[in-house]
This record gives sequence, structure tokens and C-alpha cells, in this order.
Amino acid sequence: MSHQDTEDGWLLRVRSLTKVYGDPAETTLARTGPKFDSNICPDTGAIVAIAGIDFDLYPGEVLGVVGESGSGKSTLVQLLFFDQEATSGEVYLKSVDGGRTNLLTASHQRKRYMRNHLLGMVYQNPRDGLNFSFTSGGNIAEKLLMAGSFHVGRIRDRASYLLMQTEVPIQRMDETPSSFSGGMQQRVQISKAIANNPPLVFLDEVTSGLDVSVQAKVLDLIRRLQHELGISMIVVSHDLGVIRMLTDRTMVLKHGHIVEHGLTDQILQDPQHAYTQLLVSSLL
Amino acid sequence: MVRETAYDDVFDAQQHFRSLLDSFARPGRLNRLAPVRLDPPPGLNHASVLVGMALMDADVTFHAIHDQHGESSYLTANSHAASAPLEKAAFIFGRGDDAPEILESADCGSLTYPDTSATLVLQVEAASEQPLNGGLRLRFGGPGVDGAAVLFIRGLSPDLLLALLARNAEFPMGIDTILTLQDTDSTPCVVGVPRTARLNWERV
Amino acid sequence: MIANTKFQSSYNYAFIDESTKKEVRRRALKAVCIPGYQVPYSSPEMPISRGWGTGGLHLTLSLIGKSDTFKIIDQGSDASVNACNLREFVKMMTGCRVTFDTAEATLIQTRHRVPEEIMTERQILVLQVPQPEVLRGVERYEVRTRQMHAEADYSKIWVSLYEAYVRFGTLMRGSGYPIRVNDRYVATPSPIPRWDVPNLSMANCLYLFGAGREKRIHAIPPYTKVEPLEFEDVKFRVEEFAGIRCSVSGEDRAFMDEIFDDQERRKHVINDSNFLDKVKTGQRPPQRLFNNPD
Repeated sequence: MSHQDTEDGWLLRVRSLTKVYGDPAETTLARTGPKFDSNICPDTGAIVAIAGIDFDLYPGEVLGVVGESGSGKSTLVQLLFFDQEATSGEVYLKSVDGGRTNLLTASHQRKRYMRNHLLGMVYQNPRDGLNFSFTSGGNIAEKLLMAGSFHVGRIRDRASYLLMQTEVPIQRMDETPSSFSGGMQQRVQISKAIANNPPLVFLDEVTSGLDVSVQAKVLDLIRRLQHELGISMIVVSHDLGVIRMLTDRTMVLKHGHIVEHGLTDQILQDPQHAYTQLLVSSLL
Repeated sequence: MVRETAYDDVFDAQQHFRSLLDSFARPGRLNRLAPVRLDPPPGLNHASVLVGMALMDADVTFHAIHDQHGESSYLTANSHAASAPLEKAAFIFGRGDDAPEILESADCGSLTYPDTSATLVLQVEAASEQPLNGGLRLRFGGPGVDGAAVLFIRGLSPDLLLALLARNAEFPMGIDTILTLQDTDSTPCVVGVPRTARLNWERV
Repeated sequence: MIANTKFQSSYNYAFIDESTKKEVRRRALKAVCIPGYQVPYSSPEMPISRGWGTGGLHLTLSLIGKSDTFKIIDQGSDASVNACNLREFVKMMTGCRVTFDTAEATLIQTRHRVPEEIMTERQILVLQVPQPEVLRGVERYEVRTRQMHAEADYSKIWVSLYEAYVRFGTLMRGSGYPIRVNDRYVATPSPIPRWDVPNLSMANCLYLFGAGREKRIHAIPPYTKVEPLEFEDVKFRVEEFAGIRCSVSGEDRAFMDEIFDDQERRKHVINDSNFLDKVKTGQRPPQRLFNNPD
């Protein structure tokens, strides 16, 4: 199935997404990027986090975003999850207004609705995605409550189901995540992110802080859930091993620009861009 | 520019404030203000002046839409409030038959601070619980109203009412209104129309 | 020696200056127009420390007039030390009538209780509030709680109710149960017992809430919908006094204080002292009673 065949079948469409910190000049974008080996504008000192990103995402697809620190990969998903405001660009979800409204211009209320119902996010640091003064069940309940479910019995049923799916022992549902291991905290985050069955979930370096053996288990879990639920995902990682395990397609970012974009297998076997070659060669 | 001497800054202000508090708490109720001997310029009725003197001081600004006879100076002299452009004014003095455009730039507050919005003081010709010819039959609902309240009002334009409802559509932002009038026995009266008031009307 | 004449002059009526009264009055009017929303106001120092009723006093002293009859209760009692001190202060500063009789009063200031006897259209209840921000327990920062109120994003307080139910088997804490006013703002009713919360909805009287330390006013107009937050399957309940009678009057169906006498026997006494006085003489003033769901 090639993408040209399903022009209309996209789930997420991103065009010219740009984020600049500080005061950009007219030349800022033209004088930063991989060719200049820098994100910093020589004139104004503005930092170009991402520049002119274009891509489409299809239902059930897992897209990897790989790059080193400063490549803009985390910024990308933060912009798509409305954690930060973009400088310019367009973002469309097919399920919102038939894909005709640029979501970056949506009202606060609309963005909140999307964050609750249509999107999920799992952060590298569980403290960014979970409230440690609530129980793990309470964290999931927060998502369900935001979606308008006000029935304690049903909330607990759904929360225990999700924790079971992510292999968190049910007995720990009424404990706060502070007593959990890192791997289990990430599992609770994952439960919370998928609580309202969003069609699209972002995973931002979710296993980077974990032991290697724990990483493998969490990655297995993510892969299983993705297959079972058919969720589209954008997986951000600096680790090509994670990318290889989870993703169908991959974008390589350097200094805020896409330097390579293609099927994950092809990129790993036959990287075209010098930078990608460097990354692949350092893959153990 | 007449500085009124019959007004008691302590007790008149307090009594009139209590009437205004009751008016906003119970929209659609016709409240009488204890009269005070006043001599305002022609653009202001007694009730509007008493509202201004009860609520305004040097810490707030106002805008008098009809200012041909020194109405602004009069209000400043008697309240110490400063006159300001409409979009910045905390109190706006107008008439019920003014063009709806007057509300276009009035301050509606913000979502985080809806209380910073303007208060509109609108003079009307007459209001009564009994039918009045040539006026509107205005039905009030919402917080403060026990079921429904009906008042007949003359001198209030439906276009202005529509404009008010439009500005109040994005609750909590909105403008709160006091209708002011002189009763048939010359008693100054007020009617509260908080932004939460649900209004229906028909011509009589 | 220079004679100190400054303090020989009398106080301004109701103690506070007219400027402050106007500020409080303007803010109170806005509060009534935005039911349940906390209006910030600026306030002067009072001869009473913050946290001892200054918020209530700012409102009372800005509202009160010569024709008012004033009543003040503290946790239901007209005769507690705080109530007596504040009553003397108001009387001294305004010369208005004071009373213990709920039905006679036009302006009632209260801490931690709503009078048991139904209030009328002629009356205003001023409640003292220690912490007006209902979300403060789940969010420390004012900037964020402002934003939450602006967007009606109350998920965090719902989670705290869920957590309380999970932890303790009941929806809540003893007092200050969160309420939703006019289908929009979630607010605190001040630390009144759950027993009093149903009184706030569709009432005849106006409720004004003053927080002196935090400098906020909020209001519930009459005939306004007020709902305690509750789940579909776990509902709001008031305190149960089933089968319990007041040991002084023998009456039931009122909010009771639990006391232990010198023989360490547990007894109950009707908390609202004026209501107790009346039932002792055989009257039974009208109340609004709430039936707990089965």
C-alpha cells in the first residue's frame, strides 16, 4: 500500500511546522540547519528548534523520529500535543473538521478536548505525565473524568482493565506512583495515555531512563498494545534500537530539519544521508 | 459642574448600594432609590447620577456617551471619578435607545478576570410591572429570578438588547447593566440586568 | 507635652473609610453577577487579625446601614467569644440594632454554619472564608488555578474526591464540600458542614463570601442552582443524625454538636444556639431538610 493511493486516508498531516525561540530575523531560517551545523541564528541568537517539518501519518502507523539532542525531536511532539505553541505551520487531524482546520489556531478549549480525547502522550520522565500525589488509579481517573465519565464504578473498572493491560498489579491501583519502579511508572503513564482510546499517541523517549532489561519489557508492551489497539504512534528516540523495534517509518532530524525519511527497514539497511549513516553505524 | 450638597456620602451611598445589590441579586425587580435633591445636566436622570455617586470614586473611570451639557464634568465633580474613552471605562453612562454600536468596544473582562468588565448604566423612559404602551415586555430568567419576572419597559431598544446579549454570550465574560429611570412619582428607580440574566422580549 | 487629638475624633461610620467601602461594594456587585467566581479586592487592615473574620467584616461593614438589624454567629453560637467581640465592634461602629434572633436580622455574619432557620428574601448572609480557592488543595499556584477556573477544568478536584472515596469510603472531608454554582464555577461554600450545603441552592436570600486573608469575595445569588460535586454512583450525603435527639431540648432533625459530659457520656446538642432557644420554647422554625439518597 503506497501513500499515494490513500491521499485522503491520512490521520495526521503536518506542514511547515516551525518553532523558533527568541527573535527570528528574516534570514534566521535560511542561515541555520544541518548545512550550517547549527540551530542558532548568527544574527539574532534565536534558536531554531524545528524548521519547516512536513509529514503525514496514517491510521495504525508507527512513525519514528530519531536524532541526537538538539535535533528538535522532542519539540516536535510537544508542539503536536499542544504542550508548546508553534511559531508557524499547519497541523491537521482528519477527525477534526474533516481535516480542514489548522489545529495550531484552535481555541484553548478545543486543544484541551483534543488532548483529552484524540491524543495521548507518554513522557520520558514519569513526573511530567503523572501526578504523584494521586494514586495510579487516580491518575487514570483524571483522564476519564476529563472525558466526562463521572461514575466511580466504571472508572475503577476501566482503570483496573488498563493497568492489567499494561501489566501493573491491580493491588497497586490505590497506591501512588512514588513507590513504583521506573518501569512500572512508565506503564501507568501508558495506561493513562490510552485511557480514552485516542487514535494517536506520542511517546517521547519513554524508555531512555530505564534499565536495559526493563526497557525491553516496556517496548514489548508498547508493541503489543499498538498491534492490539491499532493506535497510530509517533515514537521519539535517540536510540535506533527502539526505532527498529517499534516503527514502520522513520524521520531523521538534525538541527531541526528532516534529513532522511523512509521505511525504517530501508533506512537501517541503506542509510542515504551522511548523518543517518553515522547513526546507523553506531548502532550496536 | 454643580457639586451636589444634599447628598450624604455615607448614608445615601450605603442605602443606594443596598438597592443596587438587591437589583443585581434579583434581576427584573424594580427597586426604588431613596430620593436626594439633585440638579444634574439634562443628559442624566437622577437614578443614573445616584448610581454613579454610590459606586464611583477616584479609583475608577467612566464614560458618558451623552456629554453635550457637561455631563462628564458633573459626574467627575460629584464622584471624583475620571472620564475615559469607552473601551477603558469601568462605568458607561448611556441611554436605552442608544445605538448598539456603543457596546462594541466596551470591556467584557477576560476569562481569567471576568470581573474587570464594565458596568453599563442605561437610562430608560419608564418601567413598570403594569403594561406600558410603546414599550417592550421584558421577561427575566436565570440566577436571582424565582421562576420568571416580567417588566414593561419603554425607552429600551431591542437592537441594544441584542447587542448586550451578544457581548454576554461568552460567559463568564460580559457586561453588567443597570437600567435607571424616574417613576411616575419622580422616584429614581433601578433594575439590575447582570450578565447572567436570561432575557426574552416582545413589543407591546 | 503635645496633646494627642488625632484619636479623639470619632470613627467613620462602620469603621472603614468610604473609599474602601466603595471598592468592596463594587467588587461585591461583580461577584453577584458572576456566581461562584472569586473576585479579588483590596482591603485595609482591621483591628482584628487576618484569619479571624476580616473578610466577613469587610463585607458587613460595607453593607451595613442604620436600618439594619445585625446578627453574628460563630460555629452556630451567638455567644462565643469571637461572636461577642465582633458584635460589640459592629454595634459600636454603626449604632445599629443587634439581635440573636435569626428571623429578626436583616444582615447575618457567620463562621462555619448557615442558620438552621430558613432565611428570607429580606436577609443577607455574609460567610467568613479562610481559603476561598477551592482548588488550592490540588494546585498550589494561583496562575494555574485561575486558568483552571477560566477553562472550567475541574478534573483535579474530581480526582481528589475519587481519591477520598477510595481511601476513606466516603466522598469527603467534614466541611467545605465543593459545590458547582450555576452550572459553571466550582467554589467552596466555606467550612460549613455538609448539612448546610443544600441550603445554598435556590435560596430566598443572598449569600456573600468574604476571605480577608486571601482578599476574595464570591457570591451565590438567590434562586441559583448549587450542586455539591458527586458521582453518578456515589452521591453527596449530609451528616446522619438518625435517631439522635438533642439532650437539652429533646428535638431531632437539626445539626448537632457532639459533647461529652462530666461522666464521659456522649450527648448531642443542637448546634444553632438561636434555633435551640426557640425549640426549647416549643417553636419549630422552618428548615430546609435534605434526605440522603438510599
